[in-house]
Amino acid sequence: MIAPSTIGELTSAIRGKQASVSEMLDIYLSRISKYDSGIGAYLNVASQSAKSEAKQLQARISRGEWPGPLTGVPIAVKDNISVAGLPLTAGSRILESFVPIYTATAVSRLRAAGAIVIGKTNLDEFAMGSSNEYSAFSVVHNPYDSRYVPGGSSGGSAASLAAGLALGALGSDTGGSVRQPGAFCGLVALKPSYGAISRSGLIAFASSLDQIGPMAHTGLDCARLYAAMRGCDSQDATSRTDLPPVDIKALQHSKTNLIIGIDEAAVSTWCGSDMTGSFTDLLSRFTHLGASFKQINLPDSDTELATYHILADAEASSNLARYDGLQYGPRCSDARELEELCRRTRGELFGPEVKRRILLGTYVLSGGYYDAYYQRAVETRSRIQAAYEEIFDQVDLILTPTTGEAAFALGEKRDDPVAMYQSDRWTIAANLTGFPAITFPIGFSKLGLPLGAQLEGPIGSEETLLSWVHRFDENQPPPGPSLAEAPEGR
Amino acid sequence: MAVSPEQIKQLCQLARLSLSQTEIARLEGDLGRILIFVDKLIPIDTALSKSTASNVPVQSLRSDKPAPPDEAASLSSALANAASVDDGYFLIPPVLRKGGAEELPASDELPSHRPPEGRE
Repeated sequence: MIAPSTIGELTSAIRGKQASVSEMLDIYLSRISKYDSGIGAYLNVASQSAKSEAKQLQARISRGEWPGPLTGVPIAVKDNISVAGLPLTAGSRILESFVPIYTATAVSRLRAAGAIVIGKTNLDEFAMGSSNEYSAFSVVHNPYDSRYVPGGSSGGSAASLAAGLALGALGSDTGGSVRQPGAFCGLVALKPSYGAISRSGLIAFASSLDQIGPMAHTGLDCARLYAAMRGCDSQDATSRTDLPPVDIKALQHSKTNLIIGIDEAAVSTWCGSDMTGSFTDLLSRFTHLGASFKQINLPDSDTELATYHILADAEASSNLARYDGLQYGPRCSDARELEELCRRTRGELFGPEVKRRILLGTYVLSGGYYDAYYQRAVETRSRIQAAYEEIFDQVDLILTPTTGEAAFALGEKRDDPVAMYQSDRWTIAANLTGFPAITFPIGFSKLGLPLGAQLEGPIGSEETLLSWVHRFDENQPPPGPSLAEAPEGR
Repeated sequence: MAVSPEQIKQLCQLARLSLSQTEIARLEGDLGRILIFVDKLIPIDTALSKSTASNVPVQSLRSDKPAPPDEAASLSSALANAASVDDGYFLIPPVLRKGGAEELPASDELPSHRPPEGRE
């Protein structure tokens, strides 16, 4: 049996007894051993625990139970999300030996719906990056072409899914980290409204921006994952009680005559020719589906990027203060004093991008600079939020490219942090405002790399976003990559 | 805006981060370029803006009660990830040194769980 291409196909095969849960899992585990050495998506394949989860699910099915809508679906979990008993590194040497003692709420809810955690995926260290090249352990290759990045920071999750090494994946999105790799790997990926999915068990990077988000092959699959995870959680004080659920059955019967805002001037300024061409085609495809368009002026994206980096790095410098070698993780071996132990542990075990961000965050929060940078960024965020609220008074959704171009080459931006930061131009607004946003595949570049577009909506509009993507893709994933077996490793 | 090596050392002090000379030289360039990039905010008039450090107010607080023993983390699991523990405590190097510039109380005045001399 070949790996199913959608969650519906997999669950129907299990329900129809064409395959047991364990047999289905084995298909994915064997694909991982065959292909992942050439991709590098996984930091840790959880074969043992996954097999045991599969047996338990099968036992329930044998007793006549149906565990849930995600029964047997193998999920790749970004390695900054806790699963009790499985090592968690956050892509950093400072957590190299860390094994969490509790499971993230999002993962527990997926398991409660029948999903299986198949492994933990590679990421930029502490989710800080847009190419996965800032992982302390290894780079990840784009399954469509191994010379290109898979995007970041959830690059391992995106690559695992695109290569058929899982059927759903979790990422975290602080400035575009599920959407940009989703776009680079031809996937649907949702950054939900801030507070829609519990962040309990997610390693904090920038708490006012971080959200866990699902990645899938189609809009319907993404909706299934989101529906299983969403909802208030007493373990996360920022999880919201007032957001509407998503009705999977209603996705097919959604409102069609939407008014969608587009900023053509921004598209022509910031996109390459591949994206501009595909985006123009997309508008006519959307028109056929019943959308009408209205010109809007998005806020200046350079201002958004500056605001984002000040806030994200300020919050990161505070959140990462906890990694001091005292309570968890390795520590430098021969420090004579406490202060020296903390400084040297952090200096020896954090990577260069994390150090840059901690220092910039410390700078913008320090005496003499706080008002000029941090306070101003906080105020500018409010202006940006107000600008988007005004736009959503005139349109139902906003449509933009997810990225200005397809995936860039490995090494192309690694040593130029500012160029790397600018690759998040289209995605950070949803984090600054807290609005939900979804990327979906719209075609391929001339080099055969996937291109993605993004729909953004007001708080709580997930059902509209997911239903529109479902109408567009009709639950048909785009053509997947042809993979090479790479027995000699990357 | 340029950042001097002295400023980077001061930031390292605040952030408890030890860096090599090579790293400091590299960061001087990187931080300078990043600050030029974020300096775009300086001319923006924010006088009429409200201030929001968070996207949403606190929504759902759990009750402030200890979990029942069978649901709470055990002492051993809470300590399991530490590099060095002894008798239910995290072990760390001395915080202050006898005879140093910041001399501490004599050892008999220290809390009884202080690790023995020389142990980490």
